[in-house]
Amino acid sequence: MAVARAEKPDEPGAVAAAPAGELREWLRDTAIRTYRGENAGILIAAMVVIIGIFAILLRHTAFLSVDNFLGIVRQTAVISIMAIATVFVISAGEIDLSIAAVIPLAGYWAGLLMPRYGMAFGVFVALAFGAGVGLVNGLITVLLRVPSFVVTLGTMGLLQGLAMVPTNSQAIVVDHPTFDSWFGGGDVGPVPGLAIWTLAATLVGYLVLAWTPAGKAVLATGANPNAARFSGIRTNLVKVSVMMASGTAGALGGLLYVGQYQGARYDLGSSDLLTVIAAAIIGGTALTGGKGSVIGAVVGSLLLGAVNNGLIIEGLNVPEQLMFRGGIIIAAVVLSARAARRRT
Amino acid sequence: MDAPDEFALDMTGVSKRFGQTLVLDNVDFRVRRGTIHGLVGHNGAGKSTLMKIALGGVAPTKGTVRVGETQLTYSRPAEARSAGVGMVLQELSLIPTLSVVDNIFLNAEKRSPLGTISARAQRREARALLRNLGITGINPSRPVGELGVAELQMIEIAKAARLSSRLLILDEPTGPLARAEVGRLFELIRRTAALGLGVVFITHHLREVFEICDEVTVLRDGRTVLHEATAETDVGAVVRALVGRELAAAEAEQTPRPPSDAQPLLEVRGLTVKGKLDDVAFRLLPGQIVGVAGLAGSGRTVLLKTLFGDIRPERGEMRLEGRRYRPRSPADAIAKGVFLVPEDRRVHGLVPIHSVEQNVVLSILRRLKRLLLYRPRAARRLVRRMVETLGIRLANLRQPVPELSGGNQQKVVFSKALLSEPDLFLLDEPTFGIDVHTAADIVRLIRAEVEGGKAALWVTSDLPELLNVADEILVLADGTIKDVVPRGAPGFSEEALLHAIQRSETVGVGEAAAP
Repeated sequence: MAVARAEKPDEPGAVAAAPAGELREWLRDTAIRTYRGENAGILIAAMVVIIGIFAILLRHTAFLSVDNFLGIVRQTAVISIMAIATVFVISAGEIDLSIAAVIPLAGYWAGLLMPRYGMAFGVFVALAFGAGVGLVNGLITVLLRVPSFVVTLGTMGLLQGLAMVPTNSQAIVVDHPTFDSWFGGGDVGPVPGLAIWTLAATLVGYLVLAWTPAGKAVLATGANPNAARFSGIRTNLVKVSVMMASGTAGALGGLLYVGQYQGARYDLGSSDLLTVIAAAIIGGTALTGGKGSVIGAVVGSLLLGAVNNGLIIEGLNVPEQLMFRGGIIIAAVVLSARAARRRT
Repeated sequence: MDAPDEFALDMTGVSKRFGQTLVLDNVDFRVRRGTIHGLVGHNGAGKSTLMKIALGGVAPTKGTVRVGETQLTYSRPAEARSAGVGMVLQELSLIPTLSVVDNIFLNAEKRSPLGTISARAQRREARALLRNLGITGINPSRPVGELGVAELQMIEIAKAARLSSRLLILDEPTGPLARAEVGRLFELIRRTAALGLGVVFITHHLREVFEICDEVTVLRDGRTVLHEATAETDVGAVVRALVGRELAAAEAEQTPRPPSDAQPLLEVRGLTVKGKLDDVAFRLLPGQIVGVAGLAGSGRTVLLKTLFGDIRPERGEMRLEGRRYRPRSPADAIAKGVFLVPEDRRVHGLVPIHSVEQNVVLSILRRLKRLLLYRPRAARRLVRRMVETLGIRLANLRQPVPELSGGNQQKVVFSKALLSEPDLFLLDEPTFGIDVHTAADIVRLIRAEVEGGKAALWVTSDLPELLNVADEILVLADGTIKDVVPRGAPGFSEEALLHAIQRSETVGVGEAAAP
């Protein structure tokens, strides 16, 4: 099917568009670079439609208020950050199922080390732990040629089990005002700190994926590792790097949860994994690798957050949220697959 | 008169026209029951079209085709198959996780009255089949994935033989096999024929034709140029028929020869890759295009991949511009000034889902960096320049590469090569599957590059092309260099090379050298 599509000759429509002015060309390039995913139009349309529906249904509530919006951003911050890393991993043709399982252990490292060794050390160890998990995932994937799906399925279980060990499944309290205000609790003027974390992660992720040679190497590796390798890209290095980024993002997520809740527990973030992957996919990252959008993933994460929020305000609860989320994922993927077929 | 049933396949006066081109011109091709018929011809000579017609997949423009007593009408696709024609393709069709028995009966399972698969009956029949064909030492319950290449090939043939009552077509069955294994396979093919089937044996290995076939037919440009019993002809006659026109022994244009005391750009000694290359040694001077003549499986692709750092050699020394050269990876090779244009551009050459621009810059991503950031405008400039220099025809740079024609896709691959500014080009079938104009462009391009003191190692199955571009030709067979033929030497002809590239035990190179 894919091959037959690929054989199609040049489209006359595309030829006509060629002699565009310099400025138009530049705008278009920038637009394409900015949004590298599969289905920009659909995602934005879905966002408008869904928020529009909620806005009408919930017009007498606080749904459309700035406070509520900032609340959504705050609630989705950790998901967004992990989704950004997941865009890199999936774009490189791999997957990291252990990303959310890093959360509780990163939280424990920070929470248990900070009282004695200070905040910087605790934060550093937590992040290094995440990067280390990614390094192990990546090395096993690359050197032993085991699919990352299997490797990270294994590390996920391992980490979930390990998370129960240090405190015997008990929660710990992390009472460190500076840490709490930096990681999750604080605000900068009217803007929640978590929104700034999200924005920063989005910016970094977007720049790296769309505007650096490294990002191009990631996309090429995911799209065709053979051709990438034969073009001089060190594909093994690329894969290990994205896995490390993913582990680090999981650890950062852990720190942000700990800051918000002022405590850590073994089940922190335990239901996040599928939401993270869903956000990346809704955002137009192709599960087959080679195409990904950081901005799309953040929008996808916000969209899922807005839906949950709207449903809660509407008085619906977890079962409806789950069903709704399922529906949105299927719709997004179906629509983007259709759009891809139309295009070629 | 022949009995009507004497021929397993009887094709008379078959012509096939595709648009303007006459692919087959009044071809007669008959395969007697119980015999093996060799079919030989260059790529594009019409072999595969002829076989597609025999298989019922393509209808002839003119002519009649009979399988046994059935005349094919081309009204339904399974017609030839139900008349008893089967084919074994170069790519194996077995499923690795299933057992030998299950593979043999795949999609043609034996059923019990209840509709379940009757495993016992299948096993019994499979045993009998293997025994009849003289395939010993393979446990039919073993998963196919555990078997070696030769055994796979044999099971493949057994599977096809079970379903074909009249004619079995084998397309280059010995390609992936080592020489010792070929003997076993031949035994099997002989037994298959002995069951009363006609066998068509397609190959480039001429020695094999004379070892196993009863008759041989040579196709050239869609015509039968030779049809003889193998007992009444010889390799020389087949080669002459293949080549056709007396190719003047490459008096072609004289390329300026570099001074012989020049330091070699590449020097290889004792290069050995287990089971693939054995003690390969040669040198490449700046300004030279050295051709590699060899059949698929001769080690030609392995040689290039080893020089490109994709395969680690077991032994041997490589020197690039006098310095020790031991690339750890393709990235390393590129950094040291070596670039491979791979044989299969879809697998190793291009990223199909990405645009032309993204593909072209892949080999120089590192150079397109300023303060960590990518330089889109510099990239765009370079890509534009490549598109112009190479004359790549496209709608715009954002076009996905699969939308381009094969020739233009290959030019995209060449853009990557040129941008990385290598000193040494490794070219694996660089003109395969592209039109003649683009092929000519590519030849000109590499000539121009080489004149500036670079060098190229050029691998191709297209001998006329090789004779046209190469200053010197390495003859590669069975993983060793059999001969080095400089331009102007007596062996520098298509005929001599065709002899030389055959597997060993074949006609000696010296004997073949005089046309």
